[in-house]
Amino acid sequence: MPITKSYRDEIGKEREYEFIMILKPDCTPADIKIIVQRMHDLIERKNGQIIKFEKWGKRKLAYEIKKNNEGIYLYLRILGLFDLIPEVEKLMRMIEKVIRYMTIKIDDTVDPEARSSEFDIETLDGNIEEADVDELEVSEKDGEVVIKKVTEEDSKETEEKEAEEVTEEKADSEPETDSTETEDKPEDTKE
Amino acid sequence: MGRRNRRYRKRKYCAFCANDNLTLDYKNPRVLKDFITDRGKIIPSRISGTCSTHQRFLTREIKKARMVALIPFTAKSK
Ligand SMILES: [Zn+2]
Repeated sequence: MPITKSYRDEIGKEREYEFIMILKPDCTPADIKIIVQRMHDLIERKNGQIIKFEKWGKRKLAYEIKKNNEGIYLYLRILGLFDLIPEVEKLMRMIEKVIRYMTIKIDDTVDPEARSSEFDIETLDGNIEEADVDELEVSEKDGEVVIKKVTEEDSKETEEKEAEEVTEEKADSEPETDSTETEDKPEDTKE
Repeated sequence: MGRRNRRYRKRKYCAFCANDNLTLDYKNPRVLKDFITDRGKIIPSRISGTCSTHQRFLTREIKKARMVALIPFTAKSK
């Protein structure tokens, strides 16, 4: 009988996660491939599945992480049981090129049979070669969040935004309690 | 005409209720940036006019975006 950890876990249902990792900016496509391959092998061994892989590319970090001002962002959607993510995060901590990762659970009960995968390890090279992005444009379509990458040319026109109204008064209160849905906080990996 | 009071400001409204196309998501730093100060703090709803439901989503998404360095925690003035 399959082991379940929480009463929400229904038999035959998996959880769906969003997984973001930031790699050191000097990672080559070959480095990225090795990391994704290792992740894929682990997930497959744990009977999970990568259903989406996106390379957002090199972006400037909003703050310095481990002496890096830039990072290569990878975005994945993963299906798996409760015991998958701790293993994935253990792997992330072992890979020195990974400077930050974050897992977000987006669904508790996903029927893996009903979900099609856009990910194929065989065509990974094509995904990795994609150009770097300057900005992400996120929109919603049928309840699904769609991410569009914006490169330098098309981002020019949307620059002028009227955000003056809010900045007039300075904000002073900010709740410090963290109430994010984030399942696990990225920890600094020890090398 | 009418209101000449310089203190009068346009009535605030919730940007997310007013605009369905504005996707509130941590992966959308461009939208989130309008709701943080230049020092990176979350602007309270009493100033931005965001309704309490959307403000709650907003703070949650801002905190996620900070974790992956899409927006700053606090800006050090350079
Ligand atoms: Zn609202």
